[in-house]
Amino acid sequence: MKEIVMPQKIDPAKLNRHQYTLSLLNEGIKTGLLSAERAEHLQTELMILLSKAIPKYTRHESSSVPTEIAQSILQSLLYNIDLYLYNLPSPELAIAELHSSTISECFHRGTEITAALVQDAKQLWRLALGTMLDVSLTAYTETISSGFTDFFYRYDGKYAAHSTGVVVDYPLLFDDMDCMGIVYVKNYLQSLVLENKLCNEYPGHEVQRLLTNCGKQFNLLSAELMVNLADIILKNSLAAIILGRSAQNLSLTGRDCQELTELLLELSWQDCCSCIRQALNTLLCQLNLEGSDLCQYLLSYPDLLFPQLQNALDNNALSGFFVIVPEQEANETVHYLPGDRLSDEELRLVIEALEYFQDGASKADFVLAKVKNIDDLLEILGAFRFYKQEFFALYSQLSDSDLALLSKHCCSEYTDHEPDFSWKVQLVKYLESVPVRKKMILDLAKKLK
Amino acid sequence: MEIFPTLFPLEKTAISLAVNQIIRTNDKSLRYGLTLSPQDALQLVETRNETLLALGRIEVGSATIGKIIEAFCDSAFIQQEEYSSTLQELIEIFFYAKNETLDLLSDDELIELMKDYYEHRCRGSLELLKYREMELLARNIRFGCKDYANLDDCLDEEVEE
Repeated sequence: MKEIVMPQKIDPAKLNRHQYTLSLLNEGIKTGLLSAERAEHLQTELMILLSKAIPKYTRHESSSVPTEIAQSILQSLLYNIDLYLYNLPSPELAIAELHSSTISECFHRGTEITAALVQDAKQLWRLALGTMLDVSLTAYTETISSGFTDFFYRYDGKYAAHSTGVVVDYPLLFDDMDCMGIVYVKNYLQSLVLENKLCNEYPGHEVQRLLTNCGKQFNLLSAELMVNLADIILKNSLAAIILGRSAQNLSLTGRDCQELTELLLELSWQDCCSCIRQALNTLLCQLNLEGSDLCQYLLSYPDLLFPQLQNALDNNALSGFFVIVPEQEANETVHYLPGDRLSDEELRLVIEALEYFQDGASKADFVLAKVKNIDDLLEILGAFRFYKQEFFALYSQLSDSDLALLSKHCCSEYTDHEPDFSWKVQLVKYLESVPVRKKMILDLAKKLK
Repeated sequence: MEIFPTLFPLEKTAISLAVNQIIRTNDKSLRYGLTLSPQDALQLVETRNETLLALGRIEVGSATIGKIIEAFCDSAFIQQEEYSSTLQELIEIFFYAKNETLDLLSDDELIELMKDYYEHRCRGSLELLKYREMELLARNIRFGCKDYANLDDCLDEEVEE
């Protein structure tokens, strides 16, 4: 009886993502899933497809073209075929497709995917435009507002599908430069939308201030910088978390930087990495990003950060790694700009509604959503009986400047007979539990006017 | 990337198809006392292939040879003895001019101009066609001259300057 030989499976690692069809043909022959005759026939079909595409490209005006043009058209044909075959569930199914379909059919299905990707990319571009930050950074604003206009106007999904004719000066956190054509553009825009989402979690004026300080640090006009906004935000935000502050506090002084250096140098490199990863988890938690696409995107950020951080620590150059507030600005007086006050009726409703929340975190969320003025907050703290642990939840969610304001009031109104459940006693206890943050808040309180 | 990853298996079939197409042009050229043998036809295909390779071009099918024969077979300057060699030269000139004119002219327009210059300005001289007229035409096109086909005016402008 004849022995049945099962064909081997294709090892996906041996396939080249960027020359998928050709590598699939090679691996198909090696594993016995594709006969050499079939592979030869497919290549012949590819050449016939090219011979039909060239007259279409020249609009039937010329039967010959320079070799470079023919190569480019061939690359475009293969790009579309690659897209179709790569999007099939497995390489084996792709081989089966090469048995049952012609190269021309694969190409036409590929062009349908390309067309769909163009539509997706346009949608993402609109989203990127809608979520664009109002900052003065030329590479960022020009890339989003005008960089893609020409691309979408000129992109030819049939005869130059592999071409990435787009001006993208703005560097992303993660940019897969190996991709080409519409796949690259879609990936770029997808990442850009995610990064915009992260940046929009921070107040626009804070991001602009960070950018301006970044420019000062490098002695460059901040608008001309070639920096990634998400990167500079994340670095300072992670530093804030390590210093025991809120993730949204982006201001770092030279003293903070010194403190961070001492803190990180005390740790082994492994502990230092864990500290950063933990800070990233806290950041994702504080910004309510857990489980989101953005969370997935940011999870590999530490891998990007570690070599830079190690280099900065080795050279004692952490001050160039973060964006530091210049001394002059750090010593400046900070002005408190109160938000709109609630009416007496609104305030009463907020205090009554607090009864219905079960835990401190949700009470804190509610208060922060409703209250925009320190006097309203003081009214609520005085009128509503929070439990001790609820005070901690609320204080940990307040920004440094809010806490500094509360501290100022606390100092001026504190008496020796304050009951334990008073917000002032609990504020003192909370600040004692976060010594690094306490120092920062008291410094800030001194500058407040 | 290799333009042809493996030896194109249809090459032999393509050559024989091209030879047959060329032979069929004898039906028309015979009226002017011109014919091509199968060896001549094969030689034309080989010349075309060598020229394309030398000039870095790729052609789909063999339409160009047929078009050149159709256009030039009624010329009073071509005799049977040099018919095949003249066609070989014309094929070389054609592809050379395609490159030099930056592919901005269609095949038909370029052949039409070549024929016109060959008949009226060169009086059957292939040297003049290649080294003078085609050079002028290419220069006119590269310089964005609107009336690029008019070689006289351009020459006059050059003299005046």
